[in-house]
Amino acid sequence: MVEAILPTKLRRRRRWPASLYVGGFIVAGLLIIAILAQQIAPFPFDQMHIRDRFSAPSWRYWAGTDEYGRDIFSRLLFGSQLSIALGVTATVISMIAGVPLGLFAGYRPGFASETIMRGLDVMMSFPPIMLVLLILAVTPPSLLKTSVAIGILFVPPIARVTRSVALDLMSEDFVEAARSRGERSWYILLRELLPNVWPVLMVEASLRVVFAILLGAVLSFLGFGVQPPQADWGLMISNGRSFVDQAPWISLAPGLAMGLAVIGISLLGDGLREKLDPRHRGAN
Amino acid sequence: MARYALKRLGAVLLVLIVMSILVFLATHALPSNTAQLILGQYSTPETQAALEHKLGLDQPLTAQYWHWASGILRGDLGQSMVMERPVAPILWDALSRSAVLALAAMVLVSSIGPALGVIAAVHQGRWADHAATVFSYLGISVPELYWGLVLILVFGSTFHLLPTSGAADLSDGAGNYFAHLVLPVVTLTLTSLAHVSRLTRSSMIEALDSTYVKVARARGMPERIVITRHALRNALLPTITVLAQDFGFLIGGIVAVEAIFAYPGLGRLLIFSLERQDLPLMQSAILVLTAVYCLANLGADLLYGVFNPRIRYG
Repeated sequence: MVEAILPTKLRRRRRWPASLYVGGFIVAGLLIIAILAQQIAPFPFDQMHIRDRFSAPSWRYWAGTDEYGRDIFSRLLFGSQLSIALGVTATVISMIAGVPLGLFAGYRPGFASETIMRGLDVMMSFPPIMLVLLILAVTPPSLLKTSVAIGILFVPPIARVTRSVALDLMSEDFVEAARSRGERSWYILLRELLPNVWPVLMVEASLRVVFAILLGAVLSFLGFGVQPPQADWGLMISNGRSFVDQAPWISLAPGLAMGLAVIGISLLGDGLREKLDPRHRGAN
Repeated sequence: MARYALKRLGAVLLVLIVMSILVFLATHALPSNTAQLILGQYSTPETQAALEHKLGLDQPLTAQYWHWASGILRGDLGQSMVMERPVAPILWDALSRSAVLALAAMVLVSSIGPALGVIAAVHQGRWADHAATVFSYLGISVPELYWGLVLILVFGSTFHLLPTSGAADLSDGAGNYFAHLVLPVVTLTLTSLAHVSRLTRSSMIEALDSTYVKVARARGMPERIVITRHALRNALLPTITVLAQDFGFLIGGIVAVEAIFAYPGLGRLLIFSLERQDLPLMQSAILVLTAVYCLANLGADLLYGVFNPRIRYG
């Protein structure tokens, strides 16, 4: 009887979305591969087999070899470390800077908050790739620097999302209650607001990881990201461009790996959104 | 409306000024010695100092900035150090080539994207919808570099149907000219298409579920009219915003796509100038790209107001 009274939407909400399982499975697999790359990879990422240059995929080289005879499958495994490191570092950096800014702007609207948000608006009105290229062109490239540059680029969107959720929360009863109990500002910010902003931030973070990986690939491709002989996916795609006629697998394999990784993280993010973020329920 | 447009135009100017300062400072923080770069490694400190004096590089930063910025305002973008030609005509050629790519891609995205979204929404849960979903996921997840390579592989290396690099002038024949455009434009389109069709789909589903659509159906209107006149008109509003955002992505994408297809546009010029540390070229390319980006965003915001009468500009 109770079943029948419940509206369909409410009943459906209890189930965990399928995208969460599929995405979670892919991401978990990716993480395991990245952690165990050293152990599973048949060859070191920079070992050259001069006699086997441009070998097509075979039992010995699962994904073929590149122009130096390096095993592409092994390089793919090691490349997962770089991509994940880049995506996660950039996202963490943007959150370390963006979340406090957003919380503050949401908690205490006023001149200071307004100034911060306008400043971030100006940052967002630059073409994204330009800001990163500008940072990267000034000093010699490295993985950490690319991550920092992308992290800085993502501060405004993270701060905006945090602020909008925090603003909503400020009118909630539990914040009022904490205020009338005479709690200090930092207590309200950290113990009342932050835990409730977290679900939305998790979804946003998954999106940012994806964007960071994609942007990182473009930057490596252009020569401003990870440098050779590192086994970065974007760099591998870029190397393969010259040999696409004779050995297409050199760039096809890392492209597939990247597509799979990004699809996995996006699915996980979509699933999390359906599960955690009440604002997006029913939209899809 | 006019006041709002003016206010926003002022904001665009502010952004450009900030960007010009940033670009100027960044290019002056570059590790290389410009004079040595031009004269080569065998130059003496004396000749380097003389060249620095000639280029005005020995003046204080504020004076250099003023000299540079006022030059730009007069339309003087300076001289490319590597190509030893004035920057303006080089930039203009590259910009017009990139504009062709961007506009063609934009037209394709804004016509095909919403159409795909509507088809998916109307057939929600059926095979057409699933196909569109899979397609969107691929489009969003795979970077444009990869699409570019796949297209090169299929249409260039395997079937030899289309040229895979460079550009042709209209004077070389229209067929040749358009053939060079196909692959870059398709690559640019694929990435943004997914975005737009996804969004149209979800806002269309919401619209189809709304009271006004139910009322329209109850009044016995033909489904075709319900979809186009009632649902779509409302569902398109968020799509317009995303189209504007995608224009920004497009500019980022153009840098990558021009690199893959060796297309001599603004993106490739920018990378070239960064690699060779050609300061005047780099500064102007970045400023022009930023200006285009800001103006596109402004245009989209104004367009949004035209389509959405609920927006009142203040």
